[in-house]
Amino acid sequence: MGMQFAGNAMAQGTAYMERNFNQWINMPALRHYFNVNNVYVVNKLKLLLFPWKHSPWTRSITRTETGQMGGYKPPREDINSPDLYIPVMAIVTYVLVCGLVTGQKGSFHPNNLYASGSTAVAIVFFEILFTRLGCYFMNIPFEASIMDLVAYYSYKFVGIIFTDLTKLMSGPGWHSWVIFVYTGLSIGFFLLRSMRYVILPEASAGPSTLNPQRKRRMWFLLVIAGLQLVYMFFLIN
Amino acid sequence: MQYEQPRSFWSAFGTGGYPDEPPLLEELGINFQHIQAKSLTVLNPFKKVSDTIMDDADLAGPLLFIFLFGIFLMLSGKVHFGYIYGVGVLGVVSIYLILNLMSETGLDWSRTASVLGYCLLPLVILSGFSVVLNLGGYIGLVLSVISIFWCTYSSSGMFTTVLHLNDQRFLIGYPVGLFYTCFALMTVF
Repeated sequence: MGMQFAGNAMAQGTAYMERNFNQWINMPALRHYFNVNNVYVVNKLKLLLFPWKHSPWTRSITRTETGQMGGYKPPREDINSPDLYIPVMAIVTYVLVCGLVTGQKGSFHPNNLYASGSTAVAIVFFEILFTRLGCYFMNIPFEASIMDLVAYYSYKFVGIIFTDLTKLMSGPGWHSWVIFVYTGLSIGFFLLRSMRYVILPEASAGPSTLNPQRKRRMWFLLVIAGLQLVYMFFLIN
Repeated sequence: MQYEQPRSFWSAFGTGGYPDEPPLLEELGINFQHIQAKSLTVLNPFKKVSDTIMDDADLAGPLLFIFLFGIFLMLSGKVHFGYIYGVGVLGVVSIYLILNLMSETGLDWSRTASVLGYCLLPLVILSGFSVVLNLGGYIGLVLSVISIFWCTYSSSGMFTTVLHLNDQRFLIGYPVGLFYTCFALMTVF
């Protein structure tokens, strides 16, 4: 009798929490970003560290049966689609690697984990703010969702983890700086190619449409991609 | 000991019980056969996991394993019961969120806690070793890496069979591996 009462109470409590949780976080939209498989993750990681030769950067669009355009294809079927699995794992691994590095120096304290985690989240938040303000001031119609931006700006943690692990395993020196510059440049190039479709909505390539507005937008895009190296410098330790 | 009504106030102070009362272990939901079967499934990573193994999500086995883990750590000088509780709850909640986002059919939190707790068994064995050995050196590193892999392999296997995910095994394995790495860090350092 007591066990049944406790079970009922737990079930009612969980149902109450789920009702209120769904009002704040849109679960089906988040599910789209976590719809990944092994092959996608491996290929995306290879793409993040070697983006120079990848050729079509456009995201594929699903078509319904009548031929109309639905949303974008999920990450399972499209390597160019941003996902949230790699960013979430990258941020968690970055916090743990920071803990490992301070542990090796002998000064580990659990408070440091909170500090590195909140720094990481704050930098991503600041970049999203910067992008939205830039789009507002330059009159760029902003069609991507905030989750896309969170995903794009958190991909740099993959490069940061790579640099930190090489520094851990082989000590600080010129080769870890080389790895840092290389990963910074590759993540910058990756963002340049991926964010092009967010910042420059008219996807016509070529110099024939080089009006001042388009030049300003291209500079904005280059600034975003170049700042990645700066943020990465502040995030590695 | 005869009472007028079987469930009157005074029967709380007697030992007669009431008619149709189930035995104590069955009422508490502790089923030793199931605990043994699930522990043997974890300990034998080469056997195929059946689909219905997690149909009853009991938490008695995991609680036993967690207490054993804490007691072994205490015997080797580290009293970390608070950290075990904190890391355990945080890990179970985050893995519950990730599993629900990544799979078609969700999983409720007591089942994830049950799977994660049963697959902690190799780490309990490692902490048993830490009572007699010093795990800071090379042998300890190798043993802890083997235990983490064993735990991650068995729990990702259970999750993929229960949730019918076929090509996401490594993706489930990575956060679960991080979770068990935290426990291993507590054991070694």
